[in-house]
Amino acid sequence: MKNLGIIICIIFISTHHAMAENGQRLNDFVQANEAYANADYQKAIDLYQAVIQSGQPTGSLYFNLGNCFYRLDKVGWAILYYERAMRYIPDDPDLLFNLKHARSQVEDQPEKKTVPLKSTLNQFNLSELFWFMMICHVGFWGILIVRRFHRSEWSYYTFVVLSILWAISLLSFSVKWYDIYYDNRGIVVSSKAIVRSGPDERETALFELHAGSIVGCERHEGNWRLIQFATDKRGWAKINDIVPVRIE
Amino acid sequence: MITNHHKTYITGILIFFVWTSVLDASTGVSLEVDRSSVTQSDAIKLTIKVSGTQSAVTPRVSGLQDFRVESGGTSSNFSMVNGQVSSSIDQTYYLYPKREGKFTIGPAFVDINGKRYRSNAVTVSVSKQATDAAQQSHQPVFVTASVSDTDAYVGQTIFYTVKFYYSVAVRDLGIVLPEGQGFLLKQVSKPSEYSSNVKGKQYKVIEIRHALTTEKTGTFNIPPTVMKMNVMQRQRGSRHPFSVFDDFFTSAHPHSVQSQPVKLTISPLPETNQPTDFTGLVGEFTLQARLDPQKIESGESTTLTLQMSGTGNVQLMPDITLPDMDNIKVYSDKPEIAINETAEGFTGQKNMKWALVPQKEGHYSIGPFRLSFFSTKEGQYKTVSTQTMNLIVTPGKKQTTETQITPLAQSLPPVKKEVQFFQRDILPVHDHTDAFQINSYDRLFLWQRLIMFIFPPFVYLLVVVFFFRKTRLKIEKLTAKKALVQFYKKMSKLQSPTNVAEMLKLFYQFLNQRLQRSGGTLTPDEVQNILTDAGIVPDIANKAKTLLIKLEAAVYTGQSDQDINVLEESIREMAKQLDKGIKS
Repeated sequence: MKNLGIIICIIFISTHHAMAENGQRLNDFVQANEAYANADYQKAIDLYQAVIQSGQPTGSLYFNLGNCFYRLDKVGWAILYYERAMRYIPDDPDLLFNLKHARSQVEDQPEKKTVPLKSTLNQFNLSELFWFMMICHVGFWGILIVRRFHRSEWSYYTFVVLSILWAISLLSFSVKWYDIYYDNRGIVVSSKAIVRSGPDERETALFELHAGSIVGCERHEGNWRLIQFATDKRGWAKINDIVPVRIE
Repeated sequence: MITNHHKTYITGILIFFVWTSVLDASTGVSLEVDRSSVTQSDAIKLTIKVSGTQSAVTPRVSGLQDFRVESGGTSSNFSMVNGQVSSSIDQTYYLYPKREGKFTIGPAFVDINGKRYRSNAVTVSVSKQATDAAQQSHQPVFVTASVSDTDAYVGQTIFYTVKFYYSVAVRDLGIVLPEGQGFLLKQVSKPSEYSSNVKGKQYKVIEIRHALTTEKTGTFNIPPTVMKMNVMQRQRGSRHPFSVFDDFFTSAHPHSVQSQPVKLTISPLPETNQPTDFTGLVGEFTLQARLDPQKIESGESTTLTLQMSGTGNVQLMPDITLPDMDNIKVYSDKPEIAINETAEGFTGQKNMKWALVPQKEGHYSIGPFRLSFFSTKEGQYKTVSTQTMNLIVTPGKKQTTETQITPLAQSLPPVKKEVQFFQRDILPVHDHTDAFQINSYDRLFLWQRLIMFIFPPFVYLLVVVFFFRKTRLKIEKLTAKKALVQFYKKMSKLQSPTNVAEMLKLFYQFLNQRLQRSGGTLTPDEVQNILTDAGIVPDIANKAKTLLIKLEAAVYTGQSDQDINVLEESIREMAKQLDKGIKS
């Protein structure tokens, strides 16, 4: 009886603590929106980041952060947060509009790359693909069980259809998961980043990149990161000038 | 969070795949034979293709009275190409001609989902067996050579056919064709394989057809064709007379056989009565012309089509040139020619088209057009011609563009402009409470996702291991015991007692059910073996085989030497005996 009382107390305290946390998050979120409306963008950024750190991030929180940085004329940071929001809400029309607008202000012309079917896959987030895969997964194994008892013509055709859907959904989810967890893209956040031939200030300056440019990040040595902007543009940039899209 | 847009997208994909899976190209039946010209000792492979179904059907084929029919098995096909799903069942039969002559096989009829489908029919000509084949029938391997026509005209299409007969295992086959002598041999189709009965002995035959061309005249003695091969022989003296490895101990002996020489007489084309427009065409040809339309307005065009078709040296079909016609502009199209190889020789069709644009009104005469060739059937030159066609050209309408300008301009849609931005800016922040709602995937822990993924295959495994094995065995045993009762019930329900095909189908179903087999069509020999293995005494197994042969003969030929009621009673009696005899 005594133990039961302790358990109830623990559940009550932890629930109360979670509710209090949620309340705090909501409060910070409302305040951040007010700060944004009052053009106090730095305060809005601090509050949005506090909301993210106190729980899991969402696409809209990153979107709002991107807006704040855009208002502060930090296009690089704005694009960084818009790109992070793309992981969660890739089909959000507000996000697509703002991202396109921010990209149009980037000075550097990116190299055009088209991967077949990638644009279709980019319209879905990981959660949608996961549930689509789970439906196909259950359906596929379900029809296998049905066919153990009932080998009719309709079950054969259903099996063929579900097999194809199962393979497509599994492949789509795997590709998306790989894209997210092995995303090596980085965004130039400083107004200008000099790319050199080696990880040292004395090395030859090869070219310069401007805020908002997307690069491929490779290894880093000290305060320097090896990056690739295009097929023929590669070198070392300062680690503070480029921030990875993927959250470590 | 799945938006409406995504739901529509996913539903669309699902509907697409379900639709393509259910959609069959078309339901129907077709019939084809591997060769249309055979000797009396050869077998013909007849394939009935039933498309648009995966269920077993029993076709009824008319015109098989003059053949002995053997079932060659069934194969099912399923394919999906560019999203188009098609399924079909191929039923193969081997036909052995009972007499020589020309026969029409088909059409075949099948009933699918209560609807009757009818196939095409094919014609097969059966000739007497070649004498050189009969002479050499005591040999395990031999080769024959023949020409389609021993007395021919220069330019006529002649086929040189080599047939290789073998009743033992051979490999590394090589053919040495006769050379020189002023003629050329060119293989015209893939070698065909079939079985043949020569003086009561069963042979496999490889037939290779060549087109023989020559520009010379006179009598040719075509030297023999030589076939080289390795004949496989089983090694004798094995230590274990019933060893299963005996088949592996075979040796190859080089061997060669040659055909008889073939005599061929090529006569020159007669010089008398040769038409002036003769271009060397030999065979049988027709010429047709069409003018469409035959009444037009001045300035419009009409199409003249000439179609040349026939059998013989079709590759020499000439291009016909139109004579100059006053006040008509002529625009010619590229001629199209199609050549096919058939049992009668090369057949072809050449289509030529012209666009005719008369410049003035009036009546014009088009043609006639002529084609000359040497007829091998009649042994003389022939000229075929088309009839004269009349083209009526009426005055064209005067243009009234001036009066049409105003209404045309009014009916045109206004020129659309792209919407331009006044200024550029971003859209506002997301301030609704959904903005910090975490999506369902991120709410789950990794172990929860893994369990969700593993659960369905785990359930499947459980079903297979613990439940299914026991249940299936029980079901199969119960079904096998009830097989006879169900067979009797179905036999009684037969609407037409004369439906032998249905009776045969039910009997096979009974056998499969009673023997706990998965299904499929069996031959009478296979049935005998299976019954013997299942514990049936050889005498009854043999009787079952004989009964099945009678039933199949009645199905395929539509005739039976026994009364249908006697046949039905025999089937019932046989089912009863087998049900008792099979060890469950």
